[in-house]
Amino acid sequence: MRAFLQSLRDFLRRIRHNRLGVGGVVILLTITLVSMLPNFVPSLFRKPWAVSRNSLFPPSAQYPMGTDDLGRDVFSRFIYGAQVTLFIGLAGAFLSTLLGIFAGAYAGYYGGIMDAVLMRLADMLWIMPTFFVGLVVVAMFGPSLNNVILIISLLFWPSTARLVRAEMLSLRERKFVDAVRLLGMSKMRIVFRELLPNVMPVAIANGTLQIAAAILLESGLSFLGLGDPSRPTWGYQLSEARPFLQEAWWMALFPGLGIFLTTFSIHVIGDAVNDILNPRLRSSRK
Amino acid sequence: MILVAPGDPVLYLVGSYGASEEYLNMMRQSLGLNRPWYEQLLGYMSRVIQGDLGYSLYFRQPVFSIIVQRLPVTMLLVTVAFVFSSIIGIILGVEAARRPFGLLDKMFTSFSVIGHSIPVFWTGMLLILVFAVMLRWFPPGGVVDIGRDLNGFEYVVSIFRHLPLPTIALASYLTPLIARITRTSMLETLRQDFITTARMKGLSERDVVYKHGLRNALLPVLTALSLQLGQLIAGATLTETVFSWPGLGRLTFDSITRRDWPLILGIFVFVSIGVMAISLITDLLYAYVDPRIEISRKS
Repeated sequence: MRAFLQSLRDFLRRIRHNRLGVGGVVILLTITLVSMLPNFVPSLFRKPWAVSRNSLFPPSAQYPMGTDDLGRDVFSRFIYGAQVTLFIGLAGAFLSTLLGIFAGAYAGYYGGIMDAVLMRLADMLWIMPTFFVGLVVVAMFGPSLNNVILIISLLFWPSTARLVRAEMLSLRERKFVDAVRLLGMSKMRIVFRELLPNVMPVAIANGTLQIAAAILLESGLSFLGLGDPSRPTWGYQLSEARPFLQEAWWMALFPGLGIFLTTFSIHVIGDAVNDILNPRLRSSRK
Repeated sequence: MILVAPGDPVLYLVGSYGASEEYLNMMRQSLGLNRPWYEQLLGYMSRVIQGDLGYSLYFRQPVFSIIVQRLPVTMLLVTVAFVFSSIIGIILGVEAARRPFGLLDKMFTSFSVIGHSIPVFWTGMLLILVFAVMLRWFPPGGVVDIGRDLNGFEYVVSIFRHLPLPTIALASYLTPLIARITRTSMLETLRQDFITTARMKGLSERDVVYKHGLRNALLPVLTALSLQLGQLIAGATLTETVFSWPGLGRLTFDSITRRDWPLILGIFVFVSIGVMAISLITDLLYAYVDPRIEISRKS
């Protein structure tokens, strides 16, 4: 744990010198904080599902982002969409990273048949057209929030598992592992207390990028009509905007901008994390 | 799995006119929807192995023939976008790799991060907004003008007017991908000894980079691209949906709204097999093009 905290502190010190990375963090924090606002000051916002007679109003002082075909306020839908979209991205990436860490650690440390089985499974998922698998599964089991998160984590774990496994393979041969083994530590303890903290930076860097991938996958599915209508994400709002593209540009512009800014800042942060974690890249940049 | 699925295809087919329960049951029976799910699944799998993808519930036609009908339109879009973004992507990638971390490389890196972050379908929507709705340069969707009798030449012209927007949308997603892979591969190649040799022979820098470097760098690009094929198809599906491009992707979208399971599954099986076949072919081609790699034979 101490090794992990140390590397975290090291990391925070370095990211301050990466201007793009800081910009990404600022954008992402702003979006997150703004999306939380309705929970604290609900009186400022209209209900995202409140229908009114003012359909397809362009942006104005009354409706900062205009209204949609049912007269709902695009701005409050945008804010609500931010909550759901971010939640799906975070939850999906978190679950897949967790799955990936366990699968990768198990396969890498114990090896044997389970290693072979897990890695072949990962290979199979790797070559399958991810989006289509998600599409078919969600179409069949219903586009509920949980199903989408579940399918994202089931599709995304192989990349984390691969990275963690490779790290484990090299780590388990190190001297310090021999040392703790001689001290009589149990296998479980070695994996969780000694090895996993060393793997965490790689897994976290990969997990960060998976948030963006998860958001993009969800948006695509929602756009094809496979979103949860009771929880409109940005992608779902874009699918609602498509038939009204000629009349109401504001319905299409803002949710898309939300997706773009979010994934963009996550990518920038992910690149910054990678730069910091990958010493070879760092030296060549100077 | 079909039992768990929400929405009843029979109800969709009958429409909102309403029908007697008797008639609904008769239809279910004729479509085989009343048998238990494991029988349906097993039956489906054995038929797929025999090359039979079943009948579409909506079109009342064999799934395979519907897919084959729609395939050329998709191929047209994907091929044009692929060629377009390959040319631009490879040139960008090579130029970026010549001066790593130079001005062009930095510009290109941010360009590729942006390209990676925009959902394809949103790019498409923005393109429609600007070029079809505001400027009226291009039609907002479809392949040809409908509602007019077109002779051969007009038909082709019409297709060419419909092609640019979807192509740009798809290419905006594909180009950064190709450029990034090319850049990485070129950086690796340009570091090798034979490049130094080529320079010492006094070849022009252009020949060194494009004739000696690129030729060797392209192979890994091919492999990496074949692994991204699934992504490309996902992008094509979304692009087709935005532009009402009547190919396989649009068909998928329509089939989802129609709850046409045999057709959705059929497209899925078809696409999966296609993707795997192409990546296998790429691997085999790789061995053929590069004599250093041999497919291992068991003795």
